[in-house]
Amino acid sequence: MRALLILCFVVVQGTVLFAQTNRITTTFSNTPFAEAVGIIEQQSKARVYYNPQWTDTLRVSGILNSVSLSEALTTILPQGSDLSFFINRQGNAVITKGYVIRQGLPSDFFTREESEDQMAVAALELEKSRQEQTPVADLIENKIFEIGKKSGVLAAGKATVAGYVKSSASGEPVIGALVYIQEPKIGTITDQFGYYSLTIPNGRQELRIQNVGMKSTRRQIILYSNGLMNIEMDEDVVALREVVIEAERDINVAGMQMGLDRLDIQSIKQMPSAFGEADIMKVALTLPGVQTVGEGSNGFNVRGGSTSQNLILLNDAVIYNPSHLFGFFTAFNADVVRNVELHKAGIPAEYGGRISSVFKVDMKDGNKKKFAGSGGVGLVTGRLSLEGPIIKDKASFLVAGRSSYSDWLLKTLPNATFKNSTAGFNDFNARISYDIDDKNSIYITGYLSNDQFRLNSDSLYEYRNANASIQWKKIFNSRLYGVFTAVSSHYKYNLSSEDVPLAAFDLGYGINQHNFKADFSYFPESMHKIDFGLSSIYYDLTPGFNKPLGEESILEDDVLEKEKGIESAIYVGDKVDINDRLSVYLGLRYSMYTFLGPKSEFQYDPTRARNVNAITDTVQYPAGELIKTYHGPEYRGSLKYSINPISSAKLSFNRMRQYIHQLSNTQAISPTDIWKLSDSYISPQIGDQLSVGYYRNMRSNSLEFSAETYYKWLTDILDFKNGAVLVLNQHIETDVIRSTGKAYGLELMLRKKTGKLNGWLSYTYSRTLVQIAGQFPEERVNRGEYFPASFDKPHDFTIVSNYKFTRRINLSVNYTYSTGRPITYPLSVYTLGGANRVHYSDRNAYRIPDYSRMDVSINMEGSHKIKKLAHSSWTLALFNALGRNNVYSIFFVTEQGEINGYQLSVFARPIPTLTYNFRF
Amino acid sequence: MYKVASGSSPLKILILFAILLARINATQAQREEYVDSYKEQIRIQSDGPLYLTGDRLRFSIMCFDQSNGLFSPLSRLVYVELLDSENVALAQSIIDLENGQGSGDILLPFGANSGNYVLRAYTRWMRNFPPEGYAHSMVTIVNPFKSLGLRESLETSPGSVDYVASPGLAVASSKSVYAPREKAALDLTLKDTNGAPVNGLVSVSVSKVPDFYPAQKMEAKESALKVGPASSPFKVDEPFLPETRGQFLTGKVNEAGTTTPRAKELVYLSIVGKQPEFYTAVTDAEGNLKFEIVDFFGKGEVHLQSRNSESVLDFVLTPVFSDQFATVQVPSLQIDEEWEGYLTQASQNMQIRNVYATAIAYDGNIISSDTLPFYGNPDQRYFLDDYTRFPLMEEVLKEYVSGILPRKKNDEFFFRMVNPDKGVIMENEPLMLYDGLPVEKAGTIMEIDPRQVKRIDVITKRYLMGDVAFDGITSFHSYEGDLKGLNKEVVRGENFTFVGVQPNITHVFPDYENPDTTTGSLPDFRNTLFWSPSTKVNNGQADIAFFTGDDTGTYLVEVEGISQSGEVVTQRAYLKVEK
Repeated sequence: MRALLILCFVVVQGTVLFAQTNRITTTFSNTPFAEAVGIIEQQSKARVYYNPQWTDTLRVSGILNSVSLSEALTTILPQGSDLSFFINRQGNAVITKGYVIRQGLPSDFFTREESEDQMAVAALELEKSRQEQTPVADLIENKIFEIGKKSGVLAAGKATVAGYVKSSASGEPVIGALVYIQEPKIGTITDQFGYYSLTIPNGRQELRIQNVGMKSTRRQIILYSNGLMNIEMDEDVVALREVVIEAERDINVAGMQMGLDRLDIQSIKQMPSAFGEADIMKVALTLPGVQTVGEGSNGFNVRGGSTSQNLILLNDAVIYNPSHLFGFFTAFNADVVRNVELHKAGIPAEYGGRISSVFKVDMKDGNKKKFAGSGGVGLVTGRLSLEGPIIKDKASFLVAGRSSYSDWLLKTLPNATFKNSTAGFNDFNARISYDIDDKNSIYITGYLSNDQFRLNSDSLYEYRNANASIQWKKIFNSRLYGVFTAVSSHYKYNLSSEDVPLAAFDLGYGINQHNFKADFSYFPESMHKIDFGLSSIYYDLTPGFNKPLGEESILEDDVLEKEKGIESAIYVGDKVDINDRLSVYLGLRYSMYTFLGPKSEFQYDPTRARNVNAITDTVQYPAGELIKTYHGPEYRGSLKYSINPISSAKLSFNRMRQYIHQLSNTQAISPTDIWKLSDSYISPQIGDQLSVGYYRNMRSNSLEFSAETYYKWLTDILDFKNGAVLVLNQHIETDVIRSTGKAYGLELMLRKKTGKLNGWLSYTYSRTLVQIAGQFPEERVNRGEYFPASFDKPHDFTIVSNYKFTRRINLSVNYTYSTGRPITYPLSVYTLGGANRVHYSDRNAYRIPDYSRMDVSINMEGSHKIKKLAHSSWTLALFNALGRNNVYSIFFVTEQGEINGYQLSVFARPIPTLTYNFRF
Repeated sequence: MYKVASGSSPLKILILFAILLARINATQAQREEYVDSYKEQIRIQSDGPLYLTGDRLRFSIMCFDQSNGLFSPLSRLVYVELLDSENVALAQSIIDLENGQGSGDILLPFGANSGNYVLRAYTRWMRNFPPEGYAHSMVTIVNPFKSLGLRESLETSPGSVDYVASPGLAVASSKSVYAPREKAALDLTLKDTNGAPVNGLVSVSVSKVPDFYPAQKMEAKESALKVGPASSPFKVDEPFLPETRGQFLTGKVNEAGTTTPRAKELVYLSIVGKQPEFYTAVTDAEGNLKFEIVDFFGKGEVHLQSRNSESVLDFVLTPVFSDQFATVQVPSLQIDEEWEGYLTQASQNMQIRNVYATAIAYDGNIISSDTLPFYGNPDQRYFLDDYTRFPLMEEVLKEYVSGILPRKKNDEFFFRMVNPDKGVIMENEPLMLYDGLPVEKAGTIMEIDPRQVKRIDVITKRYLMGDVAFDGITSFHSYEGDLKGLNKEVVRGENFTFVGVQPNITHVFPDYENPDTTTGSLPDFRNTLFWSPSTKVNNGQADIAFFTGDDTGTYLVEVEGISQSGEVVTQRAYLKVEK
């Protein structure tokens, strides 16, 4: 028997020796583990057993030069991991995890005396190893990701991990998500692309990601060097009943921005609107500091600015007329909107060109995961949008269309006036998003809107917005990325009439704008972000034409000369968190504008008031001639100081310059408004704003209070002489006057974001005063004294509330009150030269009655089943529920020699609407 | 004499039952008389001659009617224990019998000492008879991490009986030497004394033995033990009723801290889990409590609580395993240095198998597919994953669970059930269960994070359960059946560890001809190449096929069972695996 044992031993030795003679020579460079094992098995002629689940993410690097199986395995198994190996008597290797195989029996195994346990620990270890194998849910949160170039030794210091945070359901970027690590506390917030960049110490880290409406998640990473890490988040539902949830950061107090309102599309959709359609602009109007001159007018006034001083962007393309159908509808289809931002103050350096505000609408990307659609049918409009992947997880499309059938409605009305009228609009959105690779993404967006209306067979009005943009986002490295944008925006209107064939005409106006910009974001370290970039806009305006229509028309062509200009800017903005309490943003934008030829320009006698009689000469500028150049710096700065975790104070200053001016003698944006470039006579408008705010959160962040006050200085604002002619005016400079303005106000807001009842209360006191005090009497208004601007409405009070009975049924009640806007009244009539003449009051000396309106809507959602054919909802809304006759304007008509005053109300009665919405 | 047939004596059992139940108050002598009229006998076979700690001991059980040798149709459950020389149980399990046959396994504890152990098996019915009538079998267990604890003199077991194969049973292997991971085939033939092929039922194991093993005279496992009567006289106070359907759980309910029995107390029994169990019982005049638990598998905890929240009670449960032990002489361990090579390799193999235990699951428990809850099909069933997820239970119930009407009174929640057919709101609060555990207050349910809840079952009708009536039932279920999210402080009552019936075992052996089921990179160091607890021999013929593993050496093929004629048959063969 002993002999057999010895023989056995020899055989064992022999096999081991045999195994060792097959030496391995190869080089691995980031080779997958399974592949590396295959090569080792082939060369060593031995089997290597392992569990692929333990090694599927492993990659192997190393040079093997005539080494044994044992040495080869030592090389390919990561050092410091819990993987080890063992070579059995047949010379085959078995890799184990979390346990080292004990190859022999304990030395006291066969002894016949009492002895101490030598290997008992092995039994415990093995038992533990077996128990630990109980399958843990294969959560991505438990998986460890290696970031950056892996090295044997972990370099000391910091590295940057960056990437996108996206929704797992649609692949849409998650904006404003907090990405942070606990120890040390370093965090950042994703930008509008869902991009984050975080510089943290190398080594094992746990990234935590939080966002309202999303499930908080974690990622385990080993950070070797700078690298990318994309994160997907699941959607979550927030409790209706108020509960103290995990302390969430609050953007109101902790955020740097002041005067920024972000509207989420959900709350937009539950607000009552006049025609049952979610209306972004109408919701914006409920915010403090945002006002309108009246319903059915789509422009808005921000902190004493005029409607033309807002930069309205749809995916970085300027929208000149954001309204449909006399302003009853917004040009933005809420179904395709992802994000709406309104900057009232503290405007970052990357924006410029308008002096009052930035209203930024971002279209959402198409769903990259699955095909989906949504739509709705209302009393006046129908809409449908479709989205889906082109290449799964990489490219998607989104197309949306909306059209009114008001035309059809008008025809069915018994009143002949309406029967002969037409009114309609449609718009169309399209977007393609393509993530070429981890570092390059391309977005192509198109927008087209058309409007036309004719009242009682009168003239036909038509207008159109058309935009196209292409954006390329490139991540240079985890600290620097850039976005390159090319946009072409187009706006035009036409007014034509064939009623009287002899006088049939076609009157029109158009703007073409082409811009290019490059924006860069650089993250030198966490808590520090530098934005910089440049932009250039080429304007090509058709200021107006009036052409005969048809062969019978005896009108003569009247075409104004084209206007051309270039506006360029460079900017840099630097945001630093100096410490936990103090954050500072400093920005500088330098803008430059040149009015270009060809153009003929009248010269005026500088000693006289500028009018036709003062023309002294006409200068002809050839094409490309730089007629007039304006330039200047625009300072931007803001500062946030956290008084304590629930309250903070913010301060901001910004200067804005505007080189394109709207010529309008109405207060609202009207389709026939024209835009005029700065030229030799019309210098750029300059707006300066200083704003101070205090922010406080109460009741564990469920209530937000904010108070902001501002003072604005407005310089070189265009106003008009009494009786100015704006359309087809060859010498518009004779009809406009420069004015200066000042605006100041206090905005108070109390907002409740969570709970069954949510919404806000806001009160605004604001004044906007204008002074027109030219050199000559006709260039003065109200004797050169300050007088209220046409949109000066000192008191404004708004309640926006939504009560959720259940998740399926909620009720919205909104109320708004504001002071009536100023108006100029005729005071008396006198006769001069046999004709009655009217003597008017000082400009804007009187006010129309105060405005008060309440709207109510009930939204009903379908069942909560996740899987069903389509998710649908109903909205029943009652606009102007109190039926108050709110006065839009007061006008005076001379009837049979008498001047009679009339009050015009747009919605004098409650207007009920019913809308059906669906998505699939 | 045993016969391979079953179900031939239901009438007899029926009579037995009738007598037992009718004469529950009969005298001791009378009881014994009835009880004596039916006897069961068990045979237990295991899958190898030797085990290492950390190995799985698999066994097969056959239960017979002693009077006629037929498979016993009486008992549904068999109690299996692995006992050391001090009668301390190393492992216990309860095996489900079907037509008198069953199988199971025991994961041998890693810390056990090396030695010869006794595997014994009995039914509850058999506990009416002395313990020497239980089945006893010897099992050799070696702990490769500990000294064997050998004694100085290596005595050979006295009077050991040589292994004798049955002449009618033959085992033929297609090859005597196989390569690693090669398909092996065994041919079983069974003949009666006349040489005519007969039917039979056998267990088959192929397990690794030392190379010198065939040359050694190894005794039969069963005959190795000398089983004698217990030292103390055998006596049964209360006859043990046979478990024909489910497992009996009996006990006593006393006033807390006393021995005063509590009569007429309504007690809830819950087994908390993914497929929870819920039973009710009322104590008799002596405070006795009896539950019959049907179709509960695995180990767990039973929770007992009185319905009346005012009651302060002690629960005393009767042990389910027998406390009667026969006198068993166990031979000492017959292992010496000659075994070193074999045990070294066996130890390495055992360690590898454990490290790869989940990657290569050879023994899978069949989790029985959803059995119906005690209330059958609920009137409403909500899988919360099918709906929008809400963060509060209140919202879940209000938003879409129509059967439950959550209300609030004095700032405390309570439930009322809505019967939609009748349009009636019921008067009293329903029975509220979370993973089978009764919850007293609706507020406790409301505090559970609904994201932890997988399913809500609702019974909107009045529900009768024995002597109890509930105004409907709401049964909430967590994902893992672990009461996740429940405020444990509100739980009344007491927990008891509970050994339920071992889940059915499947033995999966690798199939290297089917690449889908095996992964080439996984090691295969099985000790037991094949095990079948019951292989049918039809017309004297049975074919066995299996794959060899990565280890090389000598393997013992052991076939044991009974023939159609009731003859016990055993046979051995050897095969080798070489590289």
